[in-house]
Amino acid sequence: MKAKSKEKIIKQKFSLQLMWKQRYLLMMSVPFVIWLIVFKYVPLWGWTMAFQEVKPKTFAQPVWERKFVGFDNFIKAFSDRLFGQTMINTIGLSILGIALGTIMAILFALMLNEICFNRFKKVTQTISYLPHFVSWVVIASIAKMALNDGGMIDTLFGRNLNLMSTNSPLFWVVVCLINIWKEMGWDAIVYLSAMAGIDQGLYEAAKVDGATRLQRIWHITLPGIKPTVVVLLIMSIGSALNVGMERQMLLSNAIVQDHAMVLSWFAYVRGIGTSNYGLGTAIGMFQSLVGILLLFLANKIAGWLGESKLI
Amino acid sequence: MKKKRISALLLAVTMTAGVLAGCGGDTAATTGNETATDSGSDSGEVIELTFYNADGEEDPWTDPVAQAITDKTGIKLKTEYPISQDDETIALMIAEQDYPDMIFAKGDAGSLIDAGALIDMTDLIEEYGPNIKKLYGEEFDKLKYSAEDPSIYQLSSYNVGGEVFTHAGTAQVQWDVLKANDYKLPDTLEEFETMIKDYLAANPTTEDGLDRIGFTLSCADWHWMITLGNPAGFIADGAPDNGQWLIDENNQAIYKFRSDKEKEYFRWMCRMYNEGILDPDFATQTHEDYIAKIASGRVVALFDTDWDYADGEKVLKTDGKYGSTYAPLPLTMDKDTTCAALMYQGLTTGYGVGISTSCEDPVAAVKYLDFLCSDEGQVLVQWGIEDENYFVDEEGHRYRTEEEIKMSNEDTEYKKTTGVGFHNYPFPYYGDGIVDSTGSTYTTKSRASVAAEYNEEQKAACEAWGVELMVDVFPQADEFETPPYSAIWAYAKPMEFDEIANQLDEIAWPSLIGCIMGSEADFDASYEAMLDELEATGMAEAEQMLTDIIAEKVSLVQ
Repeated sequence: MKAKSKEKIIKQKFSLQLMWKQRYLLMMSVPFVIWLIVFKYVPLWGWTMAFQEVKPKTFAQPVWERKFVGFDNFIKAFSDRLFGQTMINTIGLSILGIALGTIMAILFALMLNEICFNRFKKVTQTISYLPHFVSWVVIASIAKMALNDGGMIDTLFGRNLNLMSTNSPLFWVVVCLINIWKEMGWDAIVYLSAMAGIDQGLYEAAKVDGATRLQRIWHITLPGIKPTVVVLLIMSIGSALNVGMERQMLLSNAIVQDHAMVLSWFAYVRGIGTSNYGLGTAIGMFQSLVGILLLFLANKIAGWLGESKLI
Repeated sequence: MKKKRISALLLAVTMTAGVLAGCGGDTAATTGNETATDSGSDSGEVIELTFYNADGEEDPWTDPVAQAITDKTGIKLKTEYPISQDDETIALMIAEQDYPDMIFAKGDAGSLIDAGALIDMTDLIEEYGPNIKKLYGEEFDKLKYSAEDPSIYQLSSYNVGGEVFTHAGTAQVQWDVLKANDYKLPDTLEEFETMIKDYLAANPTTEDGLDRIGFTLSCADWHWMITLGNPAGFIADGAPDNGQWLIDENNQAIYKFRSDKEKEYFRWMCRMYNEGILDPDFATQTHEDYIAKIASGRVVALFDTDWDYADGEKVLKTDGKYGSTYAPLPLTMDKDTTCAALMYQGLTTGYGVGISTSCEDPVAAVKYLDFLCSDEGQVLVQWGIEDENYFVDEEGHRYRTEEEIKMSNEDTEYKKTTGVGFHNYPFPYYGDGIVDSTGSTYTTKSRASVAAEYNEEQKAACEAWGVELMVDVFPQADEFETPPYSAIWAYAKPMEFDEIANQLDEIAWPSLIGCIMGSEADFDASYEAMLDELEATGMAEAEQMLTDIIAEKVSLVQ
């Protein structure tokens, strides 16, 4: 019954008649469309800066008076000595972050979901997502106190573990672990609500059939939240290159700098830092375009996996 | 039901509190405004100028000196300041095309001038700034930007002329250590090393039972230039402070880490790290950690400068641990190198306060600057309020009471609460030792006052050395010629140069730390690798650019 009505809606063809029929709905959406155009599309004209030489001297000039330099800014960005390593870092951090973050959040949600004692569950959940609201500045100082050479963890183990002073991808792992500590509880909320939406009858039926707790998780809970997981994954892959720079800036130091630099920070250092706004825009534009590309790719993959596509 | 009532009650209470708080805030704000207008009523309305101070801190403009300035000029400043010192506030200002009325941009002045954000003050100073001209005297022309563009965009934020009475030297060591060494000053790095090692062997822990650290560095952010970069030039090359550059006698610039002597200095650092004399945690600690270590009295020696470690030392002073405070040393690597700490490099130009194009009343801004440069203004910002912060004796000389001096040295909030010494920097000021018409010095410092303010450790040292001031044991200023160019670090340099120079620093910073933290056997290879990378990034090009800039500046003066 449900499936049938769904098909009907899809079959409705776009026509003036239909528009007239849904005129109130359309009118309701007008403000949001205007908002979208004004705040999301109009600012894109700023991308013209990526093809111009824009430095403090020329910044105040109108767009048409600035010097067009073609793809010079892109060439400069791609041939920068930091660019290669920055890309590797950005992608490495994203993959690690998405994988570890998703797995930990799901595990945490599962554990919470299995707790029978309701009040304890609520309290744990609330405490777990509190760090999400704390600024990275605070988190980074706490993390540095614990992880720096001679910090809490080193003292605990009685030797220098070089967690923050090894110039290797170990730094990515450290950053991702800190990120998990901060965001796990918050990310788990979505999975928890997805779990709450699973038909309780399935669990009861499974119980009657003699399924163990782990079997119930494996065969009912996980398939139940699969669509949610896929949607969230697609969204996070789309923003894979947008690794937040404040986190990187706050946690890095001279030694691990090679493995801390990410694209957004690179755009900031080269664009704002040396007042070469054209170059900064070019890097930002590159980041956005690759982001869109990745989004489509992830969507395709989701289609192959037999999941509903997002777009 | 009961629950509901309780939550309703809570809600009511919170809302009332909110409303009350809101009202409270409003009243306070209005009263504040009223007082401000009242005090300036003689000269009409108080003009509020916004001021971006790259070295600034919170300034509510409520201290007595600020009030006195407003009374005299009818102007109050609203200070904005960066959250951390290496942020990009100026670049963002340019991107937004929104400037405060007055700007002290430090190293970012070049891009402001490029963007046409600062006005040429020449005519305004001619008309409204007699005191500014008087203060700069002969060095006034040095404020001009370049040969092609002789505009004055900024004043200088550093002392005009004067003598140096206090200097932190090129390295610092705790007084207790120097005392254990019979006040014998180390002439070479080896002697310095032996001194520290001997002391550490005899006193492995502090009185509080903490392990002593030979010396430590602050390298987590831009401070690396102060504690790691600068001392290398001072100690190894005996060079004056030209930032990351060494200028030879032919005015040729070289990127300083290319110097062979500095390589030896960093080799020594590497050895110290491997022997555990250099703090094993130095590379990852934040500047706050660094200050905290100094404040605990654990750190035997430093390679730093007074304004940088002052916060830590202040704690030691308040605790009365004067033996753990630091003695300035004119340390150099070998006996042939002379410590150039006291050399007068001429007026430092390039860092200074400028007036932006957004300023609606540049005349008011210049008048404000002129007042600060006047004798009255100088005394007000340096000495404070008469009969309150300072007194005048029968001969008309200014003096401060002992309590006042003690407070100014030890109370960390002194500047903020009294306003004395809070509103001078980065505005122009006379150097130490220069006297006004009354025969007193403009600044609170004079040979006598500096000597009088010494604590018992410093007095004992001067007695042992047989000198009046600690800087008397340094090579004196008259041994050096003042170079025809100002300190290079402060020049507003073209962006093309900065672009390369930033990348050079970007490479040198982690590489040098890497060299130090590696084994001694690997040192040569790592250092060569760094030099190769610097060469590939355009070091030679930057050196040539800077040499040309210096040549132009020299021709401007001659």
